[in-house]
Amino acid sequence: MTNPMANPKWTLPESSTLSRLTREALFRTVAANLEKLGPDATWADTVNGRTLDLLSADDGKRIAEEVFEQFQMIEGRKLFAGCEVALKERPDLYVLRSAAEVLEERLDWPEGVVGDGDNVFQAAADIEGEVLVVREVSEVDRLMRDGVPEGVIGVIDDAGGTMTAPILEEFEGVICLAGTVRSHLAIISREFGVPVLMGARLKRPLVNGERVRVSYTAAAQNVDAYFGDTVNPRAEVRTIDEAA
Amino acid sequence: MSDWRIDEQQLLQLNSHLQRTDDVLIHNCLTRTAQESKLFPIMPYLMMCFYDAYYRFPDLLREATSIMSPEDMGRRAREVVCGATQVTTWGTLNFYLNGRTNLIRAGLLRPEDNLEDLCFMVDYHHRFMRSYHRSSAQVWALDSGDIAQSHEERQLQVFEADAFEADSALRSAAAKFTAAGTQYSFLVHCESRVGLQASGPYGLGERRLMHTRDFTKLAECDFSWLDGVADGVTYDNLSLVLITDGAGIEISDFGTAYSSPEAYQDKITGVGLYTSDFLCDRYVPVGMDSAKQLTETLLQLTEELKVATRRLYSRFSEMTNDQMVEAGIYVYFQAASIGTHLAGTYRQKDWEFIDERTRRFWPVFNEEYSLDAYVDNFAALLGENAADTDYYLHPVSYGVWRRGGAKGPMPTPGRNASLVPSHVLDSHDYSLRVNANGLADARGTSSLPAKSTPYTFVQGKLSEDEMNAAARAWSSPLAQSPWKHIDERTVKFHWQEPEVDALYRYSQERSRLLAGRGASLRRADIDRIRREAGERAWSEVTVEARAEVAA
Repeated sequence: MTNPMANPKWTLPESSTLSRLTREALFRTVAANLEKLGPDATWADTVNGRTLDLLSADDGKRIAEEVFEQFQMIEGRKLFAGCEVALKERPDLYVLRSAAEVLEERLDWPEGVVGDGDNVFQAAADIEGEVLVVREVSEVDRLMRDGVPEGVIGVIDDAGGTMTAPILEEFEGVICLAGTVRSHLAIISREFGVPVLMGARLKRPLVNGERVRVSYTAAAQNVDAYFGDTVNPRAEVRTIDEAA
Repeated sequence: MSDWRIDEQQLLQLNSHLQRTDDVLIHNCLTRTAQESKLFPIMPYLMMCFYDAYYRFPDLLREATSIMSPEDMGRRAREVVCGATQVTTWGTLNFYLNGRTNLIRAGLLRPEDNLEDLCFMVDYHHRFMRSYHRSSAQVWALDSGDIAQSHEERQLQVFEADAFEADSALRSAAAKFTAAGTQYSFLVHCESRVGLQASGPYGLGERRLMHTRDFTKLAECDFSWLDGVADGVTYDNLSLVLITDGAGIEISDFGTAYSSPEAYQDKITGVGLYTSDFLCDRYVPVGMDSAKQLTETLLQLTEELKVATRRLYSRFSEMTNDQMVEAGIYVYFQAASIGTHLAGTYRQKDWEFIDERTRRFWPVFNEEYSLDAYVDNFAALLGENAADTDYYLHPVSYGVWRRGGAKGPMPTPGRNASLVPSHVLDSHDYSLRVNANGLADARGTSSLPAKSTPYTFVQGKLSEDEMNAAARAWSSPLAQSPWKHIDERTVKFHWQEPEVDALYRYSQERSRLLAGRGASLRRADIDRIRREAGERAWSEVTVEARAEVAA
């Protein structure tokens, strides 16, 4: 029996090499397993009752290994992980996505501006503070015990609402290197009244202890910008020393 | 085997529901670009929960609906916070459909396979939502411009009358509670917003709006990771009533409230607090004897949630990756559990394992592929599934292109909804249900500790047996004739009839200002009653007036 879904009239290419490789491997495996069932097997009988014959747990393991091998040959890197524990358990498979930091070459940024971002809400005042980069769960654990020092602007690369959950309200402000003004972190920061820039772009990494001023008084980013409406100017991140 | 068949009218209706569901999904997914978390393996659990939903939701819900109709479930959800919310019900259908999409893309399913299950799931969702939104008669919040009203006048009048005017202390306490509750909910629900719910906005005249924020599954409940961690959390569900002056409120199909301006806390003029659960038939006021008591209660509850947040963070940070993926799947999977809770057929073991048909995908859905597949399948609409023809325009991506001035290339003709082909009307060579033997076909394993503590209710802590017995014994005049069929249209022209009046009095029984007032109240009466109680009418409580008092 051939797979009735195997030969569509047309398709669009997947967005990534990994998607394409995985889809091809899945289809190859299902096709081979269908072949093994013989000519008398019908799709209606197979699709549910023998679904584990079409794709077994062993097939899943083999596909994952094959695809990773092909992926490394084509892309020359490990897979990206967002979650820290995934990397901790499988350092052979993963590198943290946030480790592959992309810096911006923005010639039109005024002198002293090292980055910008989408403001979640328009704060009453801009904030000047000391940078504290928080990228690991263990660091949050430590700050949860010791407390966040006063006057700190947190720099984080996780737009989720949980990574910095126990310490978020202790920051003067936050610069988040990912996400949008509708991400979970944005939702929570709005509730806490902690100013946050989302989807921040930097022309160089910010380092612990350096002082920055963030224009949290800039207009909040227009959520309808995602649907083609006007994009508001992004809030600026300035280093105090360079600005001086 | 069932001899169920679909006719053309049903098929066309089914496909139009599938397409609308897809449009709403894509619209809401478009702005959620951050799909990773350092703490939780979000994308693997998100993509794999879809399979468990596909394999098990139909039979679990079939069992529940054999005892209680989707209309009755929607009615219960309208009266109290019972676990079936805007977002969990959205999830019940969409997780199932996304599992179907994923299986089609893997070459393991055709769009026509398990057609009876598909029709059942779409039918369940629409019937529930129509009942839940009885007065606004809508299925999707998006269809009314992100308005998600569910409460009826008799409840809204109680919320409006009983809310306390917010001085700076109460306003601050409400804001802190909302922040702590939102943050804790994200953590309890493994970074998802499944535990958050909002209803409204409801107009109170001039610039005033009222909306409710519900926080669900806060205490020891269906999630084993809250055992011990949340033993100090008093209430499982809390509903905050917020009255604002001069803030726009919208509520999406994800049940999330957004405001304009974004920092709306200064616009809060009134606050109320309630608890409820699926064993209640009405809201129970919490700390509502005075504004001072409400302020203190909100601060105390905030502290409870902060302690639990820290304890839960530590528990999650000790889990393995597999355990966290499982926890995330259980959170999403539990979206459909309210049917069995209400019906008194809930079995914890049904909701705490990963089906072996899902488990086979475990190594495939690594962190990066899970995100890529999500983008392809549910945002960019690329790949094998794409559109059926290259003439298609997706209304969301095409709308963005059009509003952006029709510059650049046309968006790809992607389409996520896998419509059912019309040849099923002539050829019946397709399966009807995914499980020929019902739930007996679902087997699996779990690496998380089994739940060990009782469940938290307004009436106290209950074991699984006690909870199911109480659910089966539950009764309320609100769920019986004639009251259950008295809706807003009935009230408008029959408000002087004794039964309508009795219904209003029942809803007002726990109200501090409206008890015994009956069905004749209009807004002017509520203003008068508040003044008689020594409180200001909401029309007198503006942000400017507050600023003048402060000055």
